[in-house]
Amino acid sequence: MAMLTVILFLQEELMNFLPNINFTILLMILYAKVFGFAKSAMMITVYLLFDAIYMGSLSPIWTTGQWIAWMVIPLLVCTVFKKTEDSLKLAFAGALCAFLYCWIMILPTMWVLHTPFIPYLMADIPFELLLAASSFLGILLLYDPLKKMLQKLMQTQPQS
Amino acid sequence: MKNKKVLWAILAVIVIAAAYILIAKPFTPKGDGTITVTVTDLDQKVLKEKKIVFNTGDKLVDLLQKNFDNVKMDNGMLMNIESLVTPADWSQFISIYINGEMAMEGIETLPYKDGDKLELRMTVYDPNYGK
Repeated sequence: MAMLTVILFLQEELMNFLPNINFTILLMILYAKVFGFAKSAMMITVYLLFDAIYMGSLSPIWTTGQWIAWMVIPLLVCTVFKKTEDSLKLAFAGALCAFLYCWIMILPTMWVLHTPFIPYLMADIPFELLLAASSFLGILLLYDPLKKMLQKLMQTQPQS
Repeated sequence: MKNKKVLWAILAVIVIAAAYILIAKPFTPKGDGTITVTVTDLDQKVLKEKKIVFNTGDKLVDLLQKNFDNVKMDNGMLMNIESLVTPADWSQFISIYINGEMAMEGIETLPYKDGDKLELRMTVYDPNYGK
Protein backbone atom coordinates (compact mmCIF):
# COMPACT_ATOMS: atom_id res chain seq x y z
CA MET A 1 0.00 0.00 0.00
CA ALA A 2 2.85 2.37 0.84
CA MET A 3 4.48 1.70 -2.53
CA LEU A 4 1.19 2.24 -4.38
CA THR A 5 0.71 5.56 -2.55
CA VAL A 6 4.21 6.59 -3.64
CA ILE A 7 3.32 5.65 -7.24
CA LEU A 8 0.16 7.78 -6.98
CA PHE A 9 2.22 10.74 -5.77
CA LEU A 10 5.15 10.27 -8.18
CA GLN A 11 3.10 9.90 -11.38
CA GLU A 12 1.36 13.19 -10.67
CA GLU A 13 4.61 15.05 -10.00
CA LEU A 14 6.27 13.51 -13.08
CA MET A 15 3.35 14.54 -15.29
CA ASN A 16 3.10 18.05 -13.88
CA PHE A 17 4.50 19.49 -17.14
CA LEU A 18 1.20 18.52 -18.80
CA PRO A 19 -1.62 20.53 -17.20
CA ASN A 20 -4.34 18.30 -15.75
CA ILE A 21 -3.11 15.19 -17.56
CA ASN A 22 -2.27 12.41 -15.13
CA PHE A 23 -3.33 8.99 -13.91
CA THR A 24 -4.46 10.18 -10.49
CA ILE A 25 -8.16 9.41 -10.96
CA LEU A 26 -7.39 6.10 -12.69
CA LEU A 27 -5.21 5.00 -9.76
CA MET A 28 -7.70 6.22 -7.15
CA ILE A 29 -10.50 4.25 -8.82
CA LEU A 30 -8.22 1.21 -9.12
CA TYR A 31 -7.16 1.40 -5.46
CA ALA A 32 -10.77 1.88 -4.32
CA LYS A 33 -11.84 -1.16 -6.37
CA VAL A 34 -9.01 -3.39 -5.15
CA PHE A 35 -8.62 -2.25 -1.52
CA GLY A 36 -12.08 -0.91 -0.65
CA PHE A 37 -13.08 2.43 0.84
CA ALA A 38 -11.13 2.56 4.12
CA LYS A 39 -7.72 1.57 2.74
CA SER A 40 -8.01 3.64 -0.44
CA ALA A 41 -9.17 6.66 1.61
CA MET A 42 -6.06 6.23 3.75
CA MET A 43 -3.81 6.04 0.66
CA ILE A 44 -5.45 9.12 -0.85
CA THR A 45 -5.04 11.06 2.42
CA VAL A 46 -1.32 10.24 2.61
CA TYR A 47 -0.87 11.09 -1.10
CA LEU A 48 -2.66 14.41 -0.58
CA LEU A 49 -0.42 15.33 2.37
CA PHE A 50 2.72 14.47 0.33
CA ASP A 51 1.42 16.48 -2.61
CA ALA A 52 0.40 19.50 -0.52
CA ILE A 53 3.75 19.60 1.30
CA TYR A 54 5.75 19.10 -1.92
CA MET A 55 3.77 21.70 -3.88
CA GLY A 56 3.66 24.13 -0.94
CA SER A 57 -0.14 24.28 -0.99
CA LEU A 58 -0.77 22.90 2.50
CA SER A 59 -3.45 25.09 4.06
CA PRO A 60 -6.51 24.28 6.16
CA ILE A 61 -9.04 25.54 3.61
CA TRP A 62 -7.32 24.44 0.39
CA THR A 63 -6.17 21.00 1.60
CA THR A 64 -9.51 20.24 3.27
CA GLY A 65 -11.26 21.16 0.01
CA GLN A 66 -8.93 18.88 -1.95
CA TRP A 67 -9.43 16.06 0.55
CA ILE A 68 -13.22 16.31 0.25
CA ALA A 69 -12.96 16.48 -3.56
CA TRP A 70 -10.69 13.41 -3.74
CA MET A 71 -12.77 11.45 -1.22
CA VAL A 72 -15.70 11.59 -3.62
CA ILE A 73 -13.85 9.02 -5.76
CA PRO A 74 -13.60 6.10 -3.28
CA LEU A 75 -17.02 7.04 -1.96
CA LEU A 76 -18.65 6.77 -5.40
CA VAL A 77 -16.59 3.74 -6.46
CA CYS A 78 -17.49 1.83 -3.30
CA THR A 79 -21.20 2.71 -3.43
CA VAL A 80 -22.74 3.77 -6.76
CA PHE A 81 -20.14 1.98 -8.94
CA LYS A 82 -19.49 -0.95 -6.56
CA LYS A 83 -20.68 -3.57 -9.03
CA THR A 84 -19.34 -1.83 -12.14
CA GLU A 85 -16.33 -3.59 -13.65
CA ASP A 86 -16.70 -2.58 -17.30
CA SER A 87 -13.82 -0.24 -18.12
CA LEU A 88 -16.00 1.94 -20.39
CA LYS A 89 -18.53 2.56 -17.60
CA LEU A 90 -15.69 3.18 -15.15
CA ALA A 91 -14.14 5.61 -17.65
CA PHE A 92 -17.38 7.60 -17.58
CA ALA A 93 -17.32 7.40 -13.78
CA GLY A 94 -13.75 8.74 -13.88
CA ALA A 95 -14.78 11.65 -16.09
CA LEU A 96 -17.65 12.41 -13.69
CA CYS A 97 -15.21 12.32 -10.75
CA ALA A 98 -12.90 14.72 -12.62
CA PHE A 99 -15.71 17.27 -13.09
CA LEU A 100 -16.85 16.82 -9.47
CA TYR A 101 -13.29 17.37 -8.26
CA CYS A 102 -12.96 20.58 -10.31
CA TRP A 103 -16.36 21.90 -9.23
CA ILE A 104 -15.76 21.18 -5.55
CA MET A 105 -12.39 22.96 -5.80
CA ILE A 106 -14.09 26.14 -7.04
CA LEU A 107 -15.14 26.98 -3.47
CA PRO A 108 -11.70 26.79 -1.77
CA THR A 109 -10.14 28.53 -4.79
CA MET A 110 -12.60 31.43 -4.51
CA TRP A 111 -11.99 31.58 -0.76
CA VAL A 112 -8.18 31.44 -0.86
CA LEU A 113 -7.47 33.41 -4.06
CA HIS A 114 -10.53 35.72 -3.93
CA THR A 115 -11.34 34.69 -7.50
CA PRO A 116 -14.73 35.79 -8.90
CA PHE A 117 -17.03 32.81 -9.58
CA ILE A 118 -18.13 33.23 -13.21
CA PRO A 119 -14.71 34.18 -14.74
CA TYR A 120 -13.07 31.31 -12.81
CA LEU A 121 -15.74 28.85 -13.95
CA MET A 122 -15.31 29.94 -17.60
CA ALA A 123 -11.51 29.84 -17.50
CA ASP A 124 -11.56 26.43 -15.80
CA ILE A 125 -13.66 24.68 -18.49
CA PRO A 126 -10.72 23.61 -20.74
CA PHE A 127 -8.81 22.36 -17.68
CA GLU A 128 -11.88 20.41 -16.51
CA LEU A 129 -12.21 18.89 -19.99
CA LEU A 130 -8.52 17.93 -19.96
CA LEU A 131 -8.74 16.20 -16.58
CA ALA A 132 -12.00 14.44 -17.52
CA ALA A 133 -10.83 13.32 -20.97
CA SER A 134 -7.38 12.21 -19.84
CA SER A 135 -8.87 10.29 -16.90
CA PHE A 136 -11.45 8.74 -19.23
CA LEU A 137 -8.75 7.66 -21.68
CA GLY A 138 -6.45 6.34 -18.95
CA ILE A 139 -9.20 4.25 -17.36
CA LEU A 140 -10.45 2.98 -20.72
CA LEU A 141 -7.00 1.79 -21.80
CA LEU A 142 -5.24 0.92 -18.55
CA TYR A 143 -7.81 -0.04 -15.91
CA ASP A 144 -8.18 -3.71 -16.93
CA PRO A 145 -4.45 -4.52 -17.36
CA LEU A 146 -3.50 -2.60 -14.20
CA LYS A 147 -6.17 -4.35 -12.14
CA LYS A 148 -5.03 -7.76 -13.36
CA MET A 149 -1.42 -6.86 -12.59
CA LEU A 150 -2.28 -5.56 -9.12
CA GLN A 151 -4.37 -8.60 -8.23
CA LYS A 152 -1.60 -10.93 -9.46
CA LEU A 153 0.92 -8.97 -7.39
CA MET A 154 -1.25 -9.17 -4.30
CA GLN A 155 -1.61 -12.96 -4.68
CA THR A 156 2.17 -13.36 -4.70
CA GLN A 157 2.63 -11.16 -1.60
CA PRO A 158 2.40 -12.78 1.85
CA GLN A 159 -0.69 -11.53 3.68
CA SER A 160 0.06 -9.59 6.84
CA MET B 1 -17.48 -3.78 -27.71
CA LYS B 2 -13.81 -3.29 -28.60
CA ASN B 3 -14.76 -1.01 -31.52
CA LYS B 4 -16.94 1.00 -29.17
CA LYS B 5 -13.99 1.50 -26.82
CA VAL B 6 -11.72 2.53 -29.69
CA LEU B 7 -14.27 5.13 -30.81
CA TRP B 8 -14.57 6.51 -27.28
CA ALA B 9 -10.78 6.59 -26.97
CA ILE B 10 -10.51 8.57 -30.24
CA LEU B 11 -13.18 10.98 -28.98
CA ALA B 12 -11.25 11.45 -25.72
CA VAL B 13 -8.06 12.25 -27.68
CA ILE B 14 -10.01 14.83 -29.74
CA VAL B 15 -11.36 16.43 -26.54
CA ILE B 16 -7.82 16.56 -25.08
CA ALA B 17 -6.50 18.21 -28.26
CA ALA B 18 -9.41 20.71 -28.31
CA ALA B 19 -8.88 21.58 -24.63
CA TYR B 20 -5.16 22.14 -25.29
CA ILE B 21 -5.96 24.47 -28.19
CA LEU B 22 -8.37 26.42 -25.95
CA ILE B 23 -5.68 26.74 -23.26
CA ALA B 24 -2.90 27.65 -25.68
CA LYS B 25 -4.98 30.27 -27.55
CA PRO B 26 -4.02 33.67 -26.18
CA PHE B 27 -6.93 35.34 -24.47
CA THR B 28 -7.29 39.04 -25.18
CA PRO B 29 -9.78 40.88 -23.04
CA LYS B 30 -12.19 43.13 -24.93
CA GLY B 31 -11.46 46.84 -24.86
CA ASP B 32 -11.66 49.89 -27.09
CA GLY B 33 -8.11 49.53 -28.32
CA THR B 34 -4.56 48.40 -27.73
CA ILE B 35 -1.31 50.29 -27.35
CA THR B 36 2.18 48.86 -27.21
CA VAL B 37 4.39 50.28 -24.50
CA THR B 38 8.14 49.66 -24.56
CA VAL B 39 10.59 50.56 -21.83
CA THR B 40 14.17 50.93 -23.10
CA ASP B 41 17.42 51.75 -21.34
CA LEU B 42 20.23 54.10 -22.37
CA ASP B 43 21.57 51.56 -24.88
CA GLN B 44 18.05 51.26 -26.34
CA LYS B 45 17.88 47.73 -24.99
CA VAL B 46 14.24 46.74 -24.45
CA LEU B 47 13.65 46.10 -20.75
CA LYS B 48 9.96 45.34 -21.07
CA GLU B 49 7.37 45.49 -23.82
CA LYS B 50 3.68 45.06 -23.27
CA LYS B 51 0.50 45.31 -25.28
CA ILE B 52 -2.08 47.08 -23.16
CA VAL B 53 -5.81 46.95 -23.76
CA PHE B 54 -7.55 50.23 -22.91
CA ASN B 55 -11.06 51.59 -22.70
CA THR B 56 -12.02 55.11 -23.75
CA GLY B 57 -11.27 57.51 -20.93
CA ASP B 58 -8.44 55.44 -19.40
CA LYS B 59 -5.56 57.65 -18.29
CA LEU B 60 -2.17 56.71 -19.68
CA VAL B 61 -0.56 57.02 -16.25
CA ASP B 62 -3.11 54.62 -14.76
CA LEU B 63 -2.44 52.10 -17.55
CA LEU B 64 1.30 52.32 -16.88
CA GLN B 65 0.80 51.89 -13.15
CA LYS B 66 -1.37 48.82 -13.71
CA ASN B 67 0.97 47.16 -16.19
CA PHE B 68 4.48 48.12 -15.11
CA ASP B 69 6.43 47.99 -11.86
CA ASN B 70 8.03 50.85 -10.00
CA VAL B 71 6.06 53.61 -11.74
CA LYS B 72 6.71 56.92 -9.97
CA MET B 73 5.30 60.30 -10.97
CA ASP B 74 6.38 63.70 -9.73
CA ASN B 75 4.65 66.93 -10.80
CA GLY B 76 3.27 65.24 -13.90
CA MET B 77 6.67 63.86 -14.91
CA LEU B 78 7.45 60.17 -15.18
CA MET B 79 10.41 59.72 -12.83
CA ASN B 80 10.76 55.93 -12.57
CA ILE B 81 9.45 52.88 -14.42
CA GLU B 82 10.70 49.32 -14.10
CA SER B 83 14.49 49.64 -13.54
CA LEU B 84 14.71 53.14 -15.07
CA VAL B 85 15.29 55.73 -12.34
CA THR B 86 15.72 59.45 -12.96
CA PRO B 87 18.78 60.55 -10.93
CA ALA B 88 18.52 63.50 -8.53
CA ASP B 89 20.83 65.64 -10.72
CA TRP B 90 18.63 65.04 -13.79
CA SER B 91 21.67 63.98 -15.82
CA GLN B 92 19.33 61.41 -17.34
CA PHE B 93 15.58 61.41 -17.77
CA ILE B 94 12.83 59.24 -19.22
CA SER B 95 11.82 60.63 -22.59
CA ILE B 96 8.54 59.70 -24.25
CA TYR B 97 8.30 58.68 -27.89
CA ILE B 98 4.99 58.02 -29.58
CA ASN B 99 5.10 56.15 -32.88
CA GLY B 100 8.83 56.91 -33.13
CA GLU B 101 8.48 60.69 -32.60
CA MET B 102 9.39 62.48 -29.40
CA ALA B 103 6.14 63.43 -27.67
CA MET B 104 5.24 67.09 -27.46
CA GLU B 105 3.25 66.60 -24.25
CA GLY B 106 3.88 65.04 -20.88
CA ILE B 107 2.65 61.59 -19.96
CA GLU B 108 -0.40 62.95 -18.07
CA THR B 109 -1.85 64.83 -21.04
CA LEU B 110 -0.47 62.84 -23.95
CA PRO B 111 -3.31 61.71 -26.24
CA TYR B 112 -3.18 58.16 -27.57
CA LYS B 113 -5.23 55.99 -29.85
CA ASP B 114 -5.63 52.36 -30.86
CA GLY B 115 -2.45 50.92 -32.36
CA ASP B 116 -0.09 53.59 -30.99
CA LYS B 117 3.42 52.57 -30.03
CA LEU B 118 4.68 54.32 -26.92
CA GLU B 119 8.33 54.15 -26.00
CA LEU B 120 9.69 55.23 -22.63
CA ARG B 121 13.39 55.70 -23.27
CA MET B 122 16.13 56.57 -20.79
CA THR B 123 17.95 59.56 -22.27
CA VAL B 124 21.08 61.50 -21.28
CA TYR B 125 20.35 65.17 -20.64
CA ASP B 126 22.11 67.32 -23.26
CA PRO B 127 22.37 71.01 -22.17
CA ASN B 128 23.13 71.97 -25.80
CA TYR B 129 20.01 70.24 -27.17
CA GLY B 130 18.20 72.55 -29.59
CA LYS B 131 20.97 75.21 -29.64
